[in-house]
Amino acid sequence: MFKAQTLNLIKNPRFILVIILTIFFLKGIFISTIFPIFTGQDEARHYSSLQYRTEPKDKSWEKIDRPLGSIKKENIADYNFSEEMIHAGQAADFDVFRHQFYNTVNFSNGYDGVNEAEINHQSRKPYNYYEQPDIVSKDNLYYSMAVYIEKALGKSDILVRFFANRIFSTFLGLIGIFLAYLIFKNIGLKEKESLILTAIVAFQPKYAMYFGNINYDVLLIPLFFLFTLGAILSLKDGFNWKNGLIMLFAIGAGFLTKATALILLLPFLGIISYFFYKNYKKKIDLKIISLATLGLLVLILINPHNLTSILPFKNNLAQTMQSLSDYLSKSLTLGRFALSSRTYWGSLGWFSNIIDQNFTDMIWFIEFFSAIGVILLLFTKKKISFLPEKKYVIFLLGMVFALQFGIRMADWKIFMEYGNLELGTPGRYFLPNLVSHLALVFIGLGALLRKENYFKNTLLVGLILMLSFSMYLIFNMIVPRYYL
Amino acid sequence: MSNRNKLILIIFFFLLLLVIFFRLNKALSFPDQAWKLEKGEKIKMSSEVIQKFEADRDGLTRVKILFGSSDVKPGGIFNFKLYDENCQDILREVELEITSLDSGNTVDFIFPKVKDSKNKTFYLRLKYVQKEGGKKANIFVIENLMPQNKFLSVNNEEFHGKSLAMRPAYRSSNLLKDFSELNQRMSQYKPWFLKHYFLHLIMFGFIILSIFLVLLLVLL
Repeated sequence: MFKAQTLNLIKNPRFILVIILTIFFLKGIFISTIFPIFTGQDEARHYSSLQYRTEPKDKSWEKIDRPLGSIKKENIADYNFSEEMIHAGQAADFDVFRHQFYNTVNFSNGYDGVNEAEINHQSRKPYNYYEQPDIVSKDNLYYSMAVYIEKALGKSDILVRFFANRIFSTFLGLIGIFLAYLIFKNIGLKEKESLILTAIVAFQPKYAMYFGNINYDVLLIPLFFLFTLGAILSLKDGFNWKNGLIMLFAIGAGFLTKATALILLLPFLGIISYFFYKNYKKKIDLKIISLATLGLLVLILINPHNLTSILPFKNNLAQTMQSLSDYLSKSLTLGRFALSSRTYWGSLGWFSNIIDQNFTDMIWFIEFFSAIGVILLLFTKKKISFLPEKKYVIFLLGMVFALQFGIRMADWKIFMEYGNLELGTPGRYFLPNLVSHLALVFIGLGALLRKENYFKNTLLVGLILMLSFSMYLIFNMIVPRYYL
Repeated sequence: MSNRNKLILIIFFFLLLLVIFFRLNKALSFPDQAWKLEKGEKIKMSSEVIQKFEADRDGLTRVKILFGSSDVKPGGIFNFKLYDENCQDILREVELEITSLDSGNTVDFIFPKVKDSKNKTFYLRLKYVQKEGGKKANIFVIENLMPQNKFLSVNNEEFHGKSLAMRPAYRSSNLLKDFSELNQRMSQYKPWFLKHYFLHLIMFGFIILSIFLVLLLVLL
């Protein structure tokens, strides 16, 4: 009796989903812990922005005039951060492990760092004393949310506040994983396949690493997933107020988070056009679609970004085309693709060993076959019962292309201004499409293998490889780098 | 899926985990930070480096050496020998092939633990043989007045009051103690809820649950 109940419990998809979410959360917190303070991507500046938002409105203290860029930034004290941040960074040996790749913190023989008591003592104020604070931006939805944590823990020391904010990022990543599960289920994958694919996303190393950092992308990425879910639901159930609102909410919240969300306009317009076309053929009620279009126009009008200024244009068409040609010849190189790919999959580039140097080749090899599978799926008339319908595959492809297009437009725009690839296309920029990308990779393999059993086995092998790669990066790369 | 295939997948998974944790176990030693790891005078290794040093702890198992930017491609082989104080008996020997040495790269010479190394003097001899077309490796020599630094010679030239930019690293008597020391290091400069027992719980929690998840998804 007990055995049967236990078996029923562990077979329950909800139980497995809870396990996946718990693992992701624990792993995320562990990753948040093993990366020392301020070591995430632009993390110090993002945390500085957060602190700046938390300061009292009446800034009665005297300010120092030190324009940004006026001095060479060699140490944390050269940044216009708060007094508390600079002190904590110096006390925790930030300057050592940031600039000396081969060095670590000066460890004590206990659980508290050599200068930790100084940080705990809170002798420095979390106020920025510079006229020109080193911050990313003042207004942002992510900061508006995270600032509550900063305020609620205002009496605690910076270590408590900083790492609590990192855990908040992990929590947002957790929401992303849950949305990934809903997407996989709604595109027509079976329960178990959806769960395995969700676990694969949860173990994608870069995703977990990024969600262990303080950065506004940790809100943007789940918003992309939310938009993808809304769009998938509209394709599944028809365009209705529910999925329309999900998409509009994701776009609106995305606008308030980062300009990258502007890219979502393209797939949304694609969805609207699809339903208009469908209406033309099947006489569907246009009311909701028209309302959604109106909602979109309102969002575009009130969005905080200047839409025309983000479009790359140089004097005249000839010069613009010349700039495009220069940009493409410099950016579309195998080396640049390899760099994007390596960083997308979580390579840290710290050590040059056989795994670090060759793992993207293996991934490209798999993706090559997967691409053939996707093409086959799109051009074969016969439906493969265990795989999603073509409309979902086309939409997921559209998401991938839209983000690629948007990122490269932004990169080109910066190239036009600076004359070099200042922005670049690091892999993390493509994480908002992680769910769409991984779904396509495995759908492609499934289409090539044709048998459900093989598809399931491929997913399981994918899960084992992803989990192992994630463990390898944590225990063979990050831990030795910072602690051994 | 057939039971045979399930078994193959599970074995494959455990083999990968085994390799990962074996590598961690191999790297799990704690460098003595009293030895400074910094860029000093860069010297090309023409013949050999001899460094005599006294160990501060039992369980000497690794020597981490900092190298300068060296255009060594296509690479070469390091020959590392650890002798007793009298330079009579070779206690440990490591041959390590490298393909590149960038600025600030460290190379770890890992060898079986010398259990009773505390207060004993060791004699380290390092040679580098480059492959055809490659150049010699560059080491760093730094000021070091620690009593544990006994002698340094590079390419047969003696350097007084100086040492290699290196760190000897030690292991404890058992794995549990090593994990405890690792936990101590990871806990430093972290808030109370990410220290010590909490950190153990988080780390082992996610490892055990991850293994459970894979077994569950493969077997069900």
